[in-house]
Amino acid sequence: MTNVKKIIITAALSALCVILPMAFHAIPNAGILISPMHIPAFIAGLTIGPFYGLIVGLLGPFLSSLITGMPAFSYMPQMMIELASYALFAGIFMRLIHTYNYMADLYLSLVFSMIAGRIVAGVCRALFFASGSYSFNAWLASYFVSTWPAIIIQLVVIPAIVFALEKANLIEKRY
Amino acid sequence: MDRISPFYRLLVFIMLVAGVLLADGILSNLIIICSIALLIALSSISRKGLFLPVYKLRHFLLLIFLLNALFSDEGTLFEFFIFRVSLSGILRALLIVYRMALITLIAYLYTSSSSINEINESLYILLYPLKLLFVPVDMLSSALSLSLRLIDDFLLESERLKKVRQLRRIGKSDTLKEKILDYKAIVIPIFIMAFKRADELSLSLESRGYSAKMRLRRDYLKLGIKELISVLLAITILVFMISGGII
Repeated sequence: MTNVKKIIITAALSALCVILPMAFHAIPNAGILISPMHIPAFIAGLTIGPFYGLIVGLLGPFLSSLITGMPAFSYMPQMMIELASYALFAGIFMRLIHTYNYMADLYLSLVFSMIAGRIVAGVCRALFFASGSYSFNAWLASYFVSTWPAIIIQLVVIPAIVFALEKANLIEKRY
Repeated sequence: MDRISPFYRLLVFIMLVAGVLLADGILSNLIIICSIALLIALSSISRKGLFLPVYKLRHFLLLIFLLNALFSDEGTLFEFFIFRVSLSGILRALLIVYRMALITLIAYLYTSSSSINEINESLYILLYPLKLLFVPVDMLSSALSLSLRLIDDFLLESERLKKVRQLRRIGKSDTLKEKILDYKAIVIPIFIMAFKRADELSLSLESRGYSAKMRLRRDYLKLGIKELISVLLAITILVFMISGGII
């Protein structure tokens, strides 16, 4: 994949970070149930690599906050760090993991990046955004308990999207 | 407005957006509205269809208003079913919708008065200092300007998505399994569409010899009298907003 194509995919996925939440916020509790902005960030890491994924993770919430006001401006830096970590780790794990089974690679990278991204986001929240008032229980509740439907949806939907993109020859074949 | 250098135009628009977000009180908001009216009067953009982007977002703005107005915990006026209506909630909802409409209008004014190359090169100049921190500014400014353009295209697709969602009864499905299947059926085509657009765009750009490497347009930095007046006016408005309208 050429650099120009990677830049354009970066732009397209950043645009989807704005569009998907707009489309799905009509569904009650869609923010928690689906976490639509997370999906383009994971897809970016898995398909165009950690570096471009990082850019999508940073640009997506920034653009969305500027254009639609979601997330709120005060919450935007946390969201940027969270999404950038997901995309970065998804890209890194996708490069490191080679089981010679595409689906296994996708699932392992996705699960590890979800855990790593949540750890980074939690550490940043504890150190910078909610210093002194953030606990391990609060981290568990906000990143695992209340968002479990989003985790399941992402585990089902993201590999299916990447697999469909590969089938349609829109990304390079892995094996 | 469209006659001043694209870089200073970008600076003025950014300061205006910051002004919209910082405006607090009737006087500050009046100043912002007057500034936008002045921008429209000074630009050669067609007045016809000026509010079309805001009108296109009417359903979304209404939804944002209802979400903020109907689910407020502070000083509830009355309750019915699952809704809690309060005066502070209604005022907050109005403020959010008003700000979003103004920012959409400002973004439309900027994108209609600037070509994609002008936006790209202006962003490149703006982000250029980050090169000292080894940030790939070329790539970042290209991605930023392209995504600003693609949002408009994808918005139309999202309208189609909304209709598909209504047809597929998403949001009305009962179990999590049904919800996941509904969601999958809608989201996959959206990503395929986005990647196809990216594929076509990259093919046409590469065939025209486009590379992400950019050069600094020093002519964009030339500060003439028009640029100086516009930037000084924008800075004055921004300082006024930051000071909370005390000056």
